[in-house]
Amino acid sequence: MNFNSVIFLIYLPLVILIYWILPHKARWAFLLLASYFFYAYHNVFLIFLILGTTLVSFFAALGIQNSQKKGLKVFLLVLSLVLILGALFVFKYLDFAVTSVVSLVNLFGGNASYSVLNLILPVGISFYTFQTLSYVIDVYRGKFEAERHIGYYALFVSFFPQLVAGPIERPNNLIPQLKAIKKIDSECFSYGFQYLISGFVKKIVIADFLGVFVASIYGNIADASGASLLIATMFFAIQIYGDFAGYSDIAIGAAHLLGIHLTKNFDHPYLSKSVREFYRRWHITLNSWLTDYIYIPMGGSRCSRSRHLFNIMVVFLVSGFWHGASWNYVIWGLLNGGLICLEILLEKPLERFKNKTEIRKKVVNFISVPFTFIIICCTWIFFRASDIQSAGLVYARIFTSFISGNGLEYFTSATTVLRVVLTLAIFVFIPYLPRLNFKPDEEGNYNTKQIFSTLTLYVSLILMIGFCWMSQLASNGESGFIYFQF
Amino acid sequence: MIVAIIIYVVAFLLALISFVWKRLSLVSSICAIAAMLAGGLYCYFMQYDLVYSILGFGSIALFLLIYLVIRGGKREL
Repeated sequence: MNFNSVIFLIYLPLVILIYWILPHKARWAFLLLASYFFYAYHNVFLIFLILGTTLVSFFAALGIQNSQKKGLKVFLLVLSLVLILGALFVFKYLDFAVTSVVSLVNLFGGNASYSVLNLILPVGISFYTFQTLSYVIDVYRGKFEAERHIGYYALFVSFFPQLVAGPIERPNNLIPQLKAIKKIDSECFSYGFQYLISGFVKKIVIADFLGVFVASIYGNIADASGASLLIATMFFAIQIYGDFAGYSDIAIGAAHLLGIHLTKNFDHPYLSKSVREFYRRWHITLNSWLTDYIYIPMGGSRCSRSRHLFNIMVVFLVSGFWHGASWNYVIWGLLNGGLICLEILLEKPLERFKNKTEIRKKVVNFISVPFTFIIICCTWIFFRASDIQSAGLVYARIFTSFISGNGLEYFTSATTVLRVVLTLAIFVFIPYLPRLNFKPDEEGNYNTKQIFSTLTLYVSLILMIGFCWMSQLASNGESGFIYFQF
Repeated sequence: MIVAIIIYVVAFLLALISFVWKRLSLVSSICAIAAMLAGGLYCYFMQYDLVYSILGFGSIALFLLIYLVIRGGKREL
């Protein structure tokens, strides 16, 4: 089920209402059923895969905890990892892996062939696979006690707000919250509502609107001018933020309305002063997962310089593969890893250069944010283009045919330009919406201006979301989320 | 349609000035916001392109967002 669908607007209030009416003992069962309904809404067969992953990880973790022999613990860990990652491999990477091998064989004069299986990619498989892996590994490491109630564990894997596109939750954050007795809390509702509105604005008002232009330009790269490709790439950077951060906000908001706090996934990423900082603020739960389960076990930064850089490259290679079974995602990952390695290598010379005079320091600080944004935009080209050749063509046209070509005629209409300006301005300010505090002063009085402005803000945002949604349904139909494909 | 856009821009600026410059009363900002809201609804009910209504509501939302982010209280997340 999509968050930006009509059915979700009926589903969410109904789930929240029934959840709070039910006694605590029955809530987990209801939420589990609601989550499975949410997941199976478009394809019932996907339930069997998530059930299989749940059962394998649940019993493997119990076995690991109960067994006395180290060898058996290792065996159960490896077996569960093979089964869980095996399912991910078959559904997501099998076609890609075999096709790549066949191409390689044919490149060296062989005559191999393979008919693609075209299996359905189960929505959110990468997200819940990583969530179950962290559970089994944490139990093996002794960081978390295996859950004995299969219902709560199944709910941890399939909790509907974060099931299909994260945030990737850790067992020690989510399971205790699912078990805790909760009471209706006005603060939780206020937070939840603010996050929901913020998420819908990011998705429907920002991402879907800019996405139309991006799709039209990237759909015909050969005829597009370099300038329009450059604008489309910058718009894509904002679109993907709006799409993914919007999903995360809706997930966090929906969970808040159920009294559950999910982990923050974005923290103003485009205000970063370096690529390293960007990945500490972008998709925080995936990057912290990769840090805890791959980067640190490999030695992290507490090793030789070359080993440290190698570890970074491995993490970003995995991140690239995680995003999709395609070489352009791999190159995107490696490009980001390479940029971070370069930053590490240039860190000390840059510090020396910066600290020589106060003016230099100010200039470097001033340009670092837009510079990082441009660098990140350059990497997004590989993410957005359908294949490596198309990405190469985008770079080529930006540098060789900046003016000649199509695309800029989109900006000849005054209303379009105004809407673009409005959308970009809202993009700058909307991340602050969940942080706005509408509490009375110390004497318990509300400021008239604040009440008026707050109410009007929400009414106008809801109206704007509604009208943008109507406009989009009329022209393109319901749009999905970019990260659903991962 | 150009009239609607002019109303939005003027009302947006009026609202911004009246909120930032304290000498202007709350009434003027309410009037400005009402103008944008009315413009958005008018364009919708007259069955003009939805973009005119979106611009109207978007202007109010943007202005209030800027105002509340600058003047409003913030909480740590």
